[in-house]
Formats: sequence, structure tokens, C-alpha cells
Amino acid sequence: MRMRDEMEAAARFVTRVSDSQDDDDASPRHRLQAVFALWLAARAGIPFAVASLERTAAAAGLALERASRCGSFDPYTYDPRLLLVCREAMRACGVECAPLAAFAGDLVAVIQDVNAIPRRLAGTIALLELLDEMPLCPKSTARVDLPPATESLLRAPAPVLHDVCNQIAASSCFGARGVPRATRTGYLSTLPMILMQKLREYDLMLGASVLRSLKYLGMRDAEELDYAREYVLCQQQADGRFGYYARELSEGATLRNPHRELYLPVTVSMLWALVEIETPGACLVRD
Amino acid sequence: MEGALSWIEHHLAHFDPYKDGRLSGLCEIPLAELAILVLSALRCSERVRDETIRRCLDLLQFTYHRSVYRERPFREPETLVPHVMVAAALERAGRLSPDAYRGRVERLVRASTLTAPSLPPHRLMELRHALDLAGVAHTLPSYSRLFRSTLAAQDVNPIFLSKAEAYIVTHVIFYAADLGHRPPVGVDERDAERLRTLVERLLGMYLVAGNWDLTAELVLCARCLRRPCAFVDFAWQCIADAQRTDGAVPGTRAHPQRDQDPERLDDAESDVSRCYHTTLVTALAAFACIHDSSTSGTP
Repeated sequence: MRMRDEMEAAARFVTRVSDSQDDDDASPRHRLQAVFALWLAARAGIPFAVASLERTAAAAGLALERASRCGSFDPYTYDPRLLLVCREAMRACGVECAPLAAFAGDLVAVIQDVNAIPRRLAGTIALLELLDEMPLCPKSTARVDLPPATESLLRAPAPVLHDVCNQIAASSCFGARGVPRATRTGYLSTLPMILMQKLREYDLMLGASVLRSLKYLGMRDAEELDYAREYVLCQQQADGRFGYYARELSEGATLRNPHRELYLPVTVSMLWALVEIETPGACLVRD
Repeated sequence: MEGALSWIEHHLAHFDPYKDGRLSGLCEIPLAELAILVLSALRCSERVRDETIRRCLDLLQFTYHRSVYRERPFREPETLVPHVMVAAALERAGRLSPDAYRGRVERLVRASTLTAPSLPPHRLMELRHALDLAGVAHTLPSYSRLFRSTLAAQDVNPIFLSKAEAYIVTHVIFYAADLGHRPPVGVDERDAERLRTLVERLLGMYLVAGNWDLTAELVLCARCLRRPCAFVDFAWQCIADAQRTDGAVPGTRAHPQRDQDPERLDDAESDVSRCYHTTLVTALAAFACIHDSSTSGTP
């Protein structure tokens, strides 16, 4: 596997940033991001991630229990997929986290209660099924009916592109299941162009999402992936984080803790994309 | 095409380098670009808006015969290329005798440092293309040798390619293929195929970016390379959608809100500056497509 050093450095950065204690209010979110990143990196066999996952998962579990007791943890302000994967990661480390278990239970109850599943929840439902939180849901047809793409996707605004990436993830169960060839074609001709231009525009989060989507669609050994990989690696700083954001930070982005609020999510996103495209057989969750 | 040519005709004054009595900021460049458009129209197998082309030629001729314009390359040889393009268009239209300029330009090219390898390779290629169009004798290296020194001959990662570098690639292809009027010269099969892939990727990227200027240039490149290229039809659709009712195709620095209503323009002159190049390149690409389809039978 290529890029072990780069993934290792990113995993170290993520752990270092989420571990520091100077901002307790925000720590559950950042600790969960770290659990998510280490879980992925451990699946790719990154030694630091394998060695640190249990400790980070335990610390995240405690932080979450504490936040839940004092009422500062609202799971509905989180991406449900992050919480579900973190619950799985923590359980694998022997950490049972009551607030996450309660959230998963609530989510299953709500989904089983509604008549039609909103498309935006398709990815969440796929995860719930894959993680055995609920039985296969006959209502979740949204997962399998990824609409074919046309060239007009090239002109789609960023929120639509994020939505498309989510739909591809849901439809393919995060790469665990194949997407029909007829559906893939339009995406495989347009998404590589979108990937290259979004990276050029320095939208690294969207770039990472598109990169993962291409992997879920089965793209392999394409020059566009090599170009993206080459570009992304040039955006990694010496301390392992991804992104050079001094310009945005000096031009008015007022963040209390840029490492946590800006570099951490970007680095987690990039690490996730690198694990997916660099690790043969890597999957967020097994089918 | 009709809309773009109509807009250009209505804004011909912008292309006059001495419209305010003194040399304008862009100097002779817009006029030379107009000459390139006229040359394409004259060489196109179909006649389109003859009256517009005649009016463009009137401006080229009027300007060329102003002594302040005609003398400039002899005092500042670095301005020769745009002058030669204007002369080539006028000669092609039968409005200028080659005897009137060719001998003096050949002497200037021989004596000056123009052909010394101090220019970047793509600039040398531009010079060669201009001199060849005007039938001016020179000792510049072959297209093949010049091409091999340009950025377009390198394997490049398109994500790292700046806009300025994308323009270098498009222009090298224009010079090699004489803006679509011949198969690319000096570019072997392997390079042509590599360039086709690069052009396709850049076209996809600049469609994502909504940059209609480079989109039109890359559509023209696809025609120059004479190979199938994805996104060309969609690119035309996007350019047509972006084209204003007055025929202008907004450039990258245009204002989206004002673009929809040319009557509300608060600064007509700066609007023309922003739109002229994209509108002109769109017309140029359209001429190449019309010429190509009528000579090869391709739609």
C-alpha cells in the first residue's frame, strides 16, 4: 500500500488535535471525528491508528457520557453517519456508549415509523442495515435508484454535488455493493472533471467526497485519480494536517480553534479518501 | 455565431488601438485578434455575414494605413506579430499588396533579435505562425522543434495548470493547426492523442468553473486536433446559454446580474473590455466548426 507515511502523519495530527484539553465544550465532536479517522486508518493497517484507536475510543466514550449527562450533547446536530460509524468503532474496542446506543435506537424507531424514506437518509439507512442496527428495510429503495448522470452535472453547484456524493455512497453502501454499469457511465465521465476542478478551486472537502464517490463507483487505475492523489499529497503539511488555509484565516475567517474547526475535518475527510482509494478492499463497513 | 458577429460589429470602435487618439491600454492586441477572426472568415468554406466582415476589414485597413500604427513595429519590433496578422488579413482580402510590406518586414526579422531564442517557445511559435501566414521569409526552427520546447509537449497534471498555462496550451495548438485550417503540424500522433486527452480534461474543468473564454478556446482546440472530444456539444450549449441577448458572451470578469440586461450597464466601455475576447473566440470556434463540417461532412 502506498502513502502509509502520509496516512500515519494524518492520523497522528487528528489524535493530537482531538486530545488537547483546552476546549472541553467542543471536545465530543472532535473526539468522535478522531475515532472515525482512526477506525478507518486502522482498517488500512496504519500502525499508529491500530495502537491508538482503543484509547481514543474510550476517551470519546467518556466525553460523550459526560456531555450527555450535562445536556450538551445533541446527536441531531451531528451527521448521523458519523455517529453510527463511531458507535461501531467504539463497540469493536469494547466501549459501549449509552448516548450513541440511544440515538441509534431512536433513529431505527423513527425510520420504521415513516411511510416513505427521504432520499437524504438513504446513506444512513444503508449504514443502519450494514451495522445490523435494523433489519433490511423494504422502504429504502432510495438507496438503489441512483439516477443516471448527464453532462449537466458539470454545472451543478456545490450543495448538489455533495448530495450526489451522498447518493452514490448510499447506493453503493459505501462501496460494499456494486453500482450498475449503465448508471455508472455518466458519473465516471463527469466526476473526474469535477474532482480536478474542485481541487484546483481548493474545495478540499468536496474534492475528498468526489474522490470517494469515484472509488465507490469502481474507478481504478485512472490518470485522474493519480493527478488528484499527487495534488492532495502536496497539500499535507509537515505536522500531518491537510490544507494550507493561512489565506482564509487572514482574510476574516474567525475561528476559535482553527486546528479543530478547520484543519481537523479537512484532514479526516482527506484521510478517509486516501484510505478508500489506497487500500485494496477497504470499506467503511463490511456488507 | 450570428449574435457574436453582430455584437462585434456594433463594438468595432473598441478594436481601434487609437480610438481616443492615443494608443489604448491593450495596444494592437484586440485589432490583431479581429484580424485573426477576419482571416478565419475569409478562409471558411461558407460565407457568414459578409457585410460584417467587410466592415471589420475597413477598420483593419483604415488603421493599417495610419502612419503612427504602421511605423510602430519598425521602432519597437516586439510589436511585430499583431501587425503582421493585420497585414496578412488585408492581403488575403486583396486590400494590401505584399510588396507594400513583405520586404521591409523580412529585413526587420533578419536584423532584429525577434527570432533569437530569447522569446518563450510558445511565443516563437506564435511568431512563426504569423510570419508564415503573411508569407514572410524567416529562419525560425520547424514547428516540430518549437513544439517540443513548449509546455504543451510535456505531460502535465491539469490540476496544477494555471489559467495562464492553459492559454499557452490552447495557443500552441492554434499555431500548430493554423486555427483549425490544417492538421496540427509538428505534433506526432502520440502527442496529438495526449493533447486530445488534455484538452478534454481542461474543457471539463473549465465547464465546471464556468469560464466561457477558455471553454471556447478548448472547443476550438478540439477542432484543431481533429479528434473526437467529449463535452464539446455540452460546451456549445453552455456558451449559447451564457450568450446575452445583444450577442456578447460574458468573459470571466463580467458581472452576472448586469449581463442579463445590457441596457442597465453602468460602464459600457468596461463591459466591452470584459466581453470582447470571449465573444471573439466563440465566433472563431464557430467558424472553425462551420468550415470543418462543410469540408469533412461532420455535423
